[in-house]
Amino acid sequence: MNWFERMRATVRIDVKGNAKERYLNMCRARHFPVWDVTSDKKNDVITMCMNREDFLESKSAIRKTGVKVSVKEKSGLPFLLKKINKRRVFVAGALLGVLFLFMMMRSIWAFQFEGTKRITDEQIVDYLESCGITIGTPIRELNYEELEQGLREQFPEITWASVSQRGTTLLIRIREREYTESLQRYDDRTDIVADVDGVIVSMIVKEGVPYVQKGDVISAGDILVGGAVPIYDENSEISGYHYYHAQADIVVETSQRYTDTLSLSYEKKVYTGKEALIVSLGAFDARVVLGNGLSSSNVESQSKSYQLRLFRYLQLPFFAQITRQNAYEWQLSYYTEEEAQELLLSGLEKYLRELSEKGVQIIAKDVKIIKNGMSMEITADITMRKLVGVSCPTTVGFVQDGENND
Amino acid sequence: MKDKENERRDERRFDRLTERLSLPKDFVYGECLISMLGNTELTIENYRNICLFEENCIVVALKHDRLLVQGSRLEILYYREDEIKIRGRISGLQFLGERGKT
Repeated sequence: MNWFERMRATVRIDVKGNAKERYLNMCRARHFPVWDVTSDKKNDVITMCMNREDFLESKSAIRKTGVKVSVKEKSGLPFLLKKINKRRVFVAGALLGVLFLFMMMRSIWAFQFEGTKRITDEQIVDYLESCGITIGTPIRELNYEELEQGLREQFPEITWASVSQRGTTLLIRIREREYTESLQRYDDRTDIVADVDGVIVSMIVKEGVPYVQKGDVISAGDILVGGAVPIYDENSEISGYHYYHAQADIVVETSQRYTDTLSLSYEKKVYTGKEALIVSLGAFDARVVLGNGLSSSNVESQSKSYQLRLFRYLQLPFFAQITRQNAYEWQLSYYTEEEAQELLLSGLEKYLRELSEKGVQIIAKDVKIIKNGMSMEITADITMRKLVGVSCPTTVGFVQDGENND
Repeated sequence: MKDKENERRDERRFDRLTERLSLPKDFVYGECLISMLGNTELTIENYRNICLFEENCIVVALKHDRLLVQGSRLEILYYREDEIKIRGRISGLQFLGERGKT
């Protein structure tokens, strides 16, 4: 059965009675096409399919044979149209919905970023806006290759960029240059210079000439490893230098003082109990705000934004924002000594934790908390072991080289 | 008597002519043409009408005979003026002779 035949109005009928076969033969004699004829012996019924027009014309045959015929199923386009006609509002709505979705899918309605660390999403959005790409830009106007190249040129930190579109979302994936990579930009002729005072507890030189050794006391600014390696001639005199990017792992034991002061009086936020809920509904660029905000100057607002979407990437230009406002007043309050001590100690702990995350080993700490009138002060002398040294361009040998050249 | 003899003579002449011209007999005499696809499909051309239709047996009237199709889950895929197609598990075909003569 081809598609055209499928579109025709057909009926599946049950034929009951003693002259079922006669009815079949009469249909044949009148050239009515009949198909899918099955017999159910149990119920003494023959089921068959025929065109609706033929079925209506076979009424005289039904009368003559005395069979009982019941329509079991109706199929085909005319019956479907009849059904649709009954639910025309629903069908029209569904069709309009599909059309609307199709129209919406031709534009970008959201940005999604992956791999951003130092570069913020807002910076990329600003750049896209400068290129004329905003929410609502038609997809056919996008040139992904140009955008990728533009991103790399605009942000030197980006080593790799990929711009693609999924549904109505513009997906921007970037990879930023690692911090260690930026260090490699330094000049090759570098020394390692101390950035803190302390005593060297271990030293492994990978490249360069060590100027200090384990157990030496160093001060900030001292050259620890030189990048200029001298070349001696036959008379054991320096004839020139080989220059390197000095590299070494030098650990020093150093002490550092941590101080923090906390005033015992502070202004506490006290909520007055006045609340307001503002709902903002938006479609495309238009927005409707429902509800009034609080008029007080001290208002705390919490907003949550939603965007309508179908599936993961099929974002649509319909937005909702719910803002909850709470009014408050400032009230003068006082910390108790215990509370103040706890706050100061938690500040110190946070500082120590940050140091540990940077690879600093804490050896000892001497903590003192002193009350000074209406404030409390914490002082902590921290003994720690840490990697020392920063790369600085070497100066050794340049003057000498210049002299020799002259 | 003479009319019958003339009729037989005409028939014999017609047979000879048909053989000489190699005309298909199903076309010339209206005999049925039965074709089967394995034991699942059966097509009968030049049938007269359907005498009986049940799940396990179908009797089809031919020009000079009646054909009994036996099997299970038998169904008529379609039937037209000159052709009927039966599907099912066919176990046997039997010619029953003309109605009233057997």
